Order: sequence, then structure tokens, then C-alpha cells
Amino acid sequence: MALEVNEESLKHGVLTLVVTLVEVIQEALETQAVRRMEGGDLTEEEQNRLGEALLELDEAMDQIKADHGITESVMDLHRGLDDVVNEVVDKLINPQRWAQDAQGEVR
Amino acid sequence: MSSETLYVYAIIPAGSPAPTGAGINGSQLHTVEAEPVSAVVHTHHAGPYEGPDEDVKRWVLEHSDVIEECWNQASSVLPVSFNVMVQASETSGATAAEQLRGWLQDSGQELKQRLQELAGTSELRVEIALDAAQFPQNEPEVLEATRELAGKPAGVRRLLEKRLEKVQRRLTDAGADRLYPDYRMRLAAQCQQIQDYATTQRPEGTVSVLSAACLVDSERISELGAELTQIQQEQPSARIRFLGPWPPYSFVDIDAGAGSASTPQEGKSSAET
Repeated sequence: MALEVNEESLKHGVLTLVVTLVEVIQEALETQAVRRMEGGDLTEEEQNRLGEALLELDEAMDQIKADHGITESVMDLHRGLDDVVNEVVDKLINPQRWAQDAQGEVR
Repeated sequence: MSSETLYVYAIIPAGSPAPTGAGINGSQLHTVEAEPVSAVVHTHHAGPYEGPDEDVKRWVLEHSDVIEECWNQASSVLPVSFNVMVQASETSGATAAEQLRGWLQDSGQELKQRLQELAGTSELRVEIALDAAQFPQNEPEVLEATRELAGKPAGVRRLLEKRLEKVQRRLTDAGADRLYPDYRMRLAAQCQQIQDYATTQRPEGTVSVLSAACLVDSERISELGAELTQIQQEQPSARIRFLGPWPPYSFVDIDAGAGSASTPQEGKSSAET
């Protein structure tokens, strides 16, 4: 059976994925920046420059999402990724969940 | 696939009034009886329901409308999942109705017992979350981080706000862990059964404390509501969603006939066309 690809929906999907990944990377950068700020590694001038760069990135990302109508789908993908990560972390720190899931007893 | 199949909506006690409304896409409903239970079905001439999201959403709603009508009319109902169908057997030559009747007879006692246990009950869903900005607002760490924001240039504020958010989140996470056992115990005291589930939709800026499906005596729903009102009064930063009442979708727990060749699940139509 031939696979039917809707070009518009493909573009929408790829763009959603790219924007979400950029936001995930931005989150990691922010966490790193806050850690350095807390560690006293950054002068106030450096903190301001870094913060302004992040503000510009916020603005650019919001603009791209609004222009392409992907604000909602990016949010959905973030939630989906969060759920996957939460589930993995939950299982890693609570090994008994494996046994419970296997027995179907999540009560 | 053109052979006749039966699309199953629900199991109800035998002799219960059959639903008067229509099924999916206006299909005519009827029951297949096998003492002591009946299955609510429509005769289906195609494969499983598949299509665009909008159509699937409508079919699922029409499916649940039938279950809800059964729940309102019969004393009890065991909802069946969307897209469960029973096919005729190619090996034995039994028709779909005979296959279904055979499974109902084999599992009749277990189905009857579960129907009796669920009679007069409703499912409610409770989701309790904490507002991450409000919950820790008086904590010294938050007050200090908020004070630091004052008079700082925009770029620095951006980083400080991020730090404040992290602090709020950490404190709220810890609060949610602390509150969970108490809230769960209090809700469980109002329920016949309680079952946690993973939240799919979290309001922005909140941390989930607990999401639970509650099986409650239909006459005592207001007591669960009163407990939630009490929790809301004690904890103003709690964001509570109280959904239902519904038929007991999460508490069917039927394993009847597992391993038998005649369960509806095994007779489920394949996606082949």
C-alpha cells in the first residue's frame, strides 16, 4: 500500500519537532546559566547579556510558533516528552513499579 | 472484510431493557442474551472503525452514549472498549452471535458477579494539583528570590525569574509528595475502590498531587464532594478537578474467559482490509 504524505502536515510536524527540540536545548542552557550565576561565575554584565540573548530567543520562538500555527502542537509534544521522562525516572527510582505494572496492580 | 460481525458496547444483566437510542453512525442496537447476562450490540458489516481524528472522536462519543444509556436504564453495566467486535468462526462455522453467546455463557457467572458488585456505583475522577506560584509564596527562599528581582536589568531578571521558578517548583514538588498520602487516604475513605492514573493534562504552572479514579456508591457522591471542598478550604493553592459521574469504566476488571478461544477480544476484527 502506498504511503500518502500530506506535504503541509509533514512540514507542520517537522517544524513542531525542530522548535520543540530548540526549546528543550534552551531549557538546558537556562539551567546551566542559572547554575553558573548561583556559583558566582558570572558578572552582572555577563548575566545581563546572557539573559537578553535568552529574551531574544523567547521572542523569536514565539514569533515562529505564531506564524506557523504550531503553538499548541509544540505544547503537546513537550507534555508528551515530559510524560515519557517522568515515567522512566519514576521507574528508575521506584523499582517496585516494574513488579506492580507486571501484575497490573497500580493501586 | 464483508462477513457479518457484532460490535459490542456493553454487558448488562439479562432481562434489562435494551437501549432505545442508536449506536455508532445510527446503527440499530439489539441484545444477545445468554442467561444471566446480555450483550448490547449492533450488526456490523465492515472492519474496525478507523479514520480521521474527528470521526474517531465522534464514534467514541456515540459508543459511550450507548454505555451511558445502558447505565441509566439497567441496574448495572460493564462497559466494553471501543472497537471490540465478535466475528463468526471460520473453523467451527459458528455465527458471530453464537460465538458471543458461547463466551457470555462461559463467563456468565463471573460477569454476573461483577455486575452485582458494580450495581448502584459510579466512577468519578479526582485530580488535585498545587499552583506552583501560590503554594510556596510565603517560604523564606521564595521571598528572598522575589526580593532580588527588584531593580535588576531585564536580562538579569530573566535569569533570576528562571531561578525563582526552579525554587517554586522544587518546594511545590516536595509539598505534593508530603500531601499525597493524606489526600489519598481521605479520598479512599469515601470510595469503594480507588485507582491512581497518570494525568494526561496538567494545567500550566501546577504540580500534580494525585489523580485518581474513584468507585463510589451513587448515593454517596456528595460525601466525596464534601471531602474535596474541605481539602480546598485547607489548601487554597490546590487546583481540584472533580469529573463524572460516569459508568464504572476503570473498574470492570474482567478477565473472564482469558485464554479461551471465544473472548470478544480475541474475536476482535483485525485491521486488515
